[in-house]
Amino acid sequence: MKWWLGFLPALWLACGIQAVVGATGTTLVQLPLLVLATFSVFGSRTQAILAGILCGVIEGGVVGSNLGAFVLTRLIVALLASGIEPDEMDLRGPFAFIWGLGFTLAALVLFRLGVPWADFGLFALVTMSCALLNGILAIPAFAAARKFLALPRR
Amino acid sequence: MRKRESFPWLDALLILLGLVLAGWGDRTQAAARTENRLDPISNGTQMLVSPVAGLARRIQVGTSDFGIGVFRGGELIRENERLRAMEASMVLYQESAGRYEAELQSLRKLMGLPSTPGRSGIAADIIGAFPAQSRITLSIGRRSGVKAGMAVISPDGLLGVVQTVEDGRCQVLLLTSPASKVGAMDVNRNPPSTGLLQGVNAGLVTLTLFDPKAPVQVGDRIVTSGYGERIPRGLIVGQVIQVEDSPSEGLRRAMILPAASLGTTREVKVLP
Repeated sequence: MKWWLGFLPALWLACGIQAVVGATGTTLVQLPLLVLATFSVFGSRTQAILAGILCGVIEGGVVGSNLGAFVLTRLIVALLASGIEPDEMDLRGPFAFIWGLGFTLAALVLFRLGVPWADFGLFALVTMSCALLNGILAIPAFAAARKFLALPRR
Repeated sequence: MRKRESFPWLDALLILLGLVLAGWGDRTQAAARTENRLDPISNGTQMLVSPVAGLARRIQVGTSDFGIGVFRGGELIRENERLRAMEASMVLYQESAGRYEAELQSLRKLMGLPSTPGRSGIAADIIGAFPAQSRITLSIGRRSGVKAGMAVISPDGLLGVVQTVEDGRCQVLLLTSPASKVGAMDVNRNPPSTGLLQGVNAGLVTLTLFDPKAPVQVGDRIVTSGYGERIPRGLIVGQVIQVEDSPSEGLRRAMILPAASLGTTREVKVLP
């Protein structure tokens, strides 16, 4: 229950901010994806699947198109993230950064397979910038989620 | 911390549900786009996130305005003076245009021709303005034949769309409202690139193009596409000031500077 109490408001806030950031043009951060990947690590697979579907529907709805691609990519990211055991992997500092960068790259590349884009150079640039920024944001995001869910520090 | 146990059958069922939802959602959105409207899922989710988005937008605009004021103050003052001079000459031009239009209409009447279609609007005064809600109130309503969805124009172009109607007044949602969605096209391209307009802030709207490769360029003029039932084709919306691609969303967007401004408008016309 606590997991959902943390995830739902965080996703709502992230999607609201993303709607503004995304509306100004080339999106350089993926906040809903960050929230999804963070909480999926600390949740069960069932929670992660539900969260992935919900995240995809809201993101696709806010953008107003490509809902299918959003749902599929978010579902895959959530499933990958739920496979991680927080006990076995110390998701702090550089590891959190690498994880944040990795899931963003995976999601955006998978999204591109569903929604092809003509300008590959621009896509690569935006994807890398977005992945780097999400990687940096993943450090405080994992720490905040760990604190909120009252998980023991390693 | 050990994770709670998952239920493989439930997980498989949920994944299947997700796949079905993805396919159905895509088809629903595509069908709605071809009819130049927003599908129920997008409408619902946009309403859901609109409180946070509104707050975030206000913070973004406030921060941006502050930054512009600090770094471009002098330039803005000079630009303001230039625009005031242009406005004064535009007022004179509009007065002449109004006289010629009245003369044209009376000549058409003398010749037994009907008034110009789609432009014989019902004149109205703005009796209330709520910029924070991107809404204005007009002095006419149901008694004057106003209906929800009708276009409201100022001398400069499309200002908004009638949202709710009472007996003696009506509420108009401005084109610059994030909740406003109007079909539009780029008339400088042949064939015209079409898309859906949505407000960003008090001085900006975005045109999300249906074709992500649409050859829209800065300076192009945008007009209404007329695909809806109530908004006629060809009403001036504004000019493209920026074209941006969003590869992560598979979209191309054009930022539009609206031609009609609430700040300089007192009288409007509602197009029946």
